[in-house]
Amino acid sequence: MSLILYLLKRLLYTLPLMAGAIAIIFFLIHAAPGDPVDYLIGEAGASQEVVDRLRAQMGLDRPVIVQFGIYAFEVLAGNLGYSVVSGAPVLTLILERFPATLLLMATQYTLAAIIGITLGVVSARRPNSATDNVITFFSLASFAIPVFWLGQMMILIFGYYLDWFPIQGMTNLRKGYTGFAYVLDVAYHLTLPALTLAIYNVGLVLRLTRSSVIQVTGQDYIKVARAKGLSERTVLFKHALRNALLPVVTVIGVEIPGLIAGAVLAETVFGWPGLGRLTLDAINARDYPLLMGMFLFICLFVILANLVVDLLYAALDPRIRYS
Amino acid sequence: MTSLAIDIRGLRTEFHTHVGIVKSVRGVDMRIGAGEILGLVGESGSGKSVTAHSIMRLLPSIARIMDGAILFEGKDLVASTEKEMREIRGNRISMIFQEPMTSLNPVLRVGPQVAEVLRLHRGMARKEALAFAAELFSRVGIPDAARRLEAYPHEMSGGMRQRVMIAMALACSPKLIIADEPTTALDVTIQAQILELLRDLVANADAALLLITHDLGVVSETADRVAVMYAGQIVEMAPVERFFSTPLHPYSIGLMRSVPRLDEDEQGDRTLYAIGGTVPNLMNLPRGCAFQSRCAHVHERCRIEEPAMRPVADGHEVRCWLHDS
Repeated sequence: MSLILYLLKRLLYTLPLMAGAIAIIFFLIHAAPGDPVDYLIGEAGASQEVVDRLRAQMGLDRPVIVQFGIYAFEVLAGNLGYSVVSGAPVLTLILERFPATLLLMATQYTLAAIIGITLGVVSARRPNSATDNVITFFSLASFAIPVFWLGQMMILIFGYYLDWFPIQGMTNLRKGYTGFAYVLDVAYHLTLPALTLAIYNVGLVLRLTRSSVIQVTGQDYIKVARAKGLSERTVLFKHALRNALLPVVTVIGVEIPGLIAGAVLAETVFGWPGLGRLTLDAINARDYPLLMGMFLFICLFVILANLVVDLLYAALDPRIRYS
Repeated sequence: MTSLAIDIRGLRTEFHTHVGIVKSVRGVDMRIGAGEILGLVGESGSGKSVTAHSIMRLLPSIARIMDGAILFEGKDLVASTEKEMREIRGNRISMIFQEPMTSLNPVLRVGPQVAEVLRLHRGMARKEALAFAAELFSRVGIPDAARRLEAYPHEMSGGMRQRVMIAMALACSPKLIIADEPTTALDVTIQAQILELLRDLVANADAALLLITHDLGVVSETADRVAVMYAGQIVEMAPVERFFSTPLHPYSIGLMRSVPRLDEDEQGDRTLYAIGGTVPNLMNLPRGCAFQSRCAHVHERCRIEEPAMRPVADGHEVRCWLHDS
């Protein structure tokens, strides 16, 4: 019962959070130089009369505070508006692109978590051994390499020279696969971008798991587990890892907004048709409604993801109470 | 003392640190009879716990058993493989640790933590092991045993947690239980309950108990025999009544004098006695007796030759030149 109450309370908290987000995002975007009219007209220019008419159409001629009021009411009514560039409803545009991003993020983060946690435990078993040093070197390197550079190198090596993987996109448009062949095709296209992002994210998870496991294996209950006659593997994976994962889960949750930023870079490099590229295009076009919608969507996603992480944390650690 | 539970001979354990070799256990001979309670006393760093961990072969990686034999059920534990040790740990020899607050895994329920030992060593199925764990819980005086199986460690008090640890240690009816300061972290009333419980259970289960403590009061109430450890060696060993009536080693006498007494003469000097000086550095021990720098009776011979354990009476041995006859 307390779980449901806790969930309700947490969901209730998201309301003021979202209201704050709407206000901050709105004023930040409108404070940025340039507006969509400049983009629509392009370099050729147009008469002042046309510009004024366009601005009036978009409501840009009214005071910012009035624009904000109108926008806030529309959002509360569930209407995120229409893209000034394509004219399509913002929500449709976002939901169209969201699955691609979700797929990329979930794949790469799952990959990063599995590789990071496994290598972290291996590393922690014998601190300062040769294995540990190699893993440490790798983790620091992976953390230090910028995503866009790594992505281009991956494309160059595995896409161009070795020609193992496609360079761009999510599907082979010419073949027009369906069913299982389509799934395989997407997985094939997913490999490079997911790997690139995973390599980048592995470092943090790995370092954190390593230090956490080392800390936990010094605890009394690990000594007790060994004194029970359990094998080292059972001690490590049943008794140590679950305790060691608590801080790792926290950080994974905190890192979720960073994931989206990483996705913007990777999607641009790999031509992945996700939210990242949509955001970038919207920024370039000063497509206010789309940008606003994007940021609000990301906010909501981060809030919900953190809620999931908190629930996961409580599932791992019985000492955490829902209150 | 007809049959022996464990027979330790000339055990030497060293820690190889980057600043030098620490000789933590320097030739310990110790026999514990079946069903006997041996109290191992000594201050911090005297090698009590290292001796215990050597028996379990659960030493940190920088520690090594250099010499000696630990004979247990026809095997020498020093020469046993890790796999053989895993079959002994928690099964034939079990251990109770000092800190009940941190000795249980905080994310697992206590029932399964006890049942784990039974499943591992007795091959019991989950349900069977849990049912047996409930029985053990009521045997160690945990009220409402069946329901408490479901509890997490943080939902129990220190005394209750130590009872869980005792249940875990008893689970496979071991031949030897090592209790490393089992009551140090508990308050005095709980301490008495736990000691009484340990004594009863050990008597019923016919297990031997190696009770490690720095508290002479605990020893006098619980143990059959006492061994005093100092700087990695046993310096005196005697039946408990004899030890408390006629301690022979100057260190034992000093220990006894430093216990506050309620029945002391109120008029006299009420300052609590303390043994002067400090424990010698185990990396760089003096020639001769390890206690020489703190001993009031030190003489020429103590600085040249190290005394050996000598029997002085039935079951009473001491490592001191004063009693070398």
